Amino acid sequence: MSKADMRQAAIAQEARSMLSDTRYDSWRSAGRRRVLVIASVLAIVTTCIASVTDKPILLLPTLVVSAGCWWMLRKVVRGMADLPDDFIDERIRAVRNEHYLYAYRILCGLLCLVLIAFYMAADARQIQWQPGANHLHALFWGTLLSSAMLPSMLLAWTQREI
Amino acid sequence: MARQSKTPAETVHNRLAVLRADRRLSRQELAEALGVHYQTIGYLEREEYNPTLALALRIAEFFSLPVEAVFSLRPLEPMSEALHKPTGEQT
Repeated sequence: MSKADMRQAAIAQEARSMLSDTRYDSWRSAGRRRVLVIASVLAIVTTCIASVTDKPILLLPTLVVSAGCWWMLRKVVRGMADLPDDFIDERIRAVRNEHYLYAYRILCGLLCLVLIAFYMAADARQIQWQPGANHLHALFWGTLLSSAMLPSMLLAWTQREI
Repeated sequence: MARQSKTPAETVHNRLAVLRADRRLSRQELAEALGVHYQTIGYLEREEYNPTLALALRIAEFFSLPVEAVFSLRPLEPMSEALHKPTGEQT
């Protein structure tokens, strides 16, 4: 067996175990999934606020909480947002594609709003506030965390059963 | 996020639940035989997901039935009625 085949077999094994994983079933009820999504949104917002206030002591714990939410979301949706196409069936692929489209639209919309606000504030003389490095940090963390978590968040929020 | 609304013509009806019960198969067993996730069988049985032609043909082949006996664009009549249709009054 070649190295590539062994790697494929390992990914297939990982995909099978993730899709049939029952360890987190208590977190897969619709109510708990939505609680997790709200917690994830709060974690992202708090991380952005911590970046804006420029307090590393506050940023680190919020990043740890965000990473925890990301990990838990991934487990709860059985890695549906991340597994390679070859290892998921046609329904999961279709659901995932639909949710990636929504995630893309939401993320683009939010990013456009923030960038337009930055542009207007930097350009308009009447506005006293100007975006600084801390605001760019907040934009960086917000974009990074949202792009990593949004597809799983949407899957966790909308699916009837996972 | 609203679920995509479907007109009646877009829903593909099926007899999967009846056929699975008839063969005394669990969702897991049927899913493994068809190479799909066990929840996909549930979504198909509740007619919340329309299978691709390839999957519909695989399902029909698995049950050794023509595809139109398993899937239909119109609501399917109960199996009991299909099996025992009155042949008309005899004189």
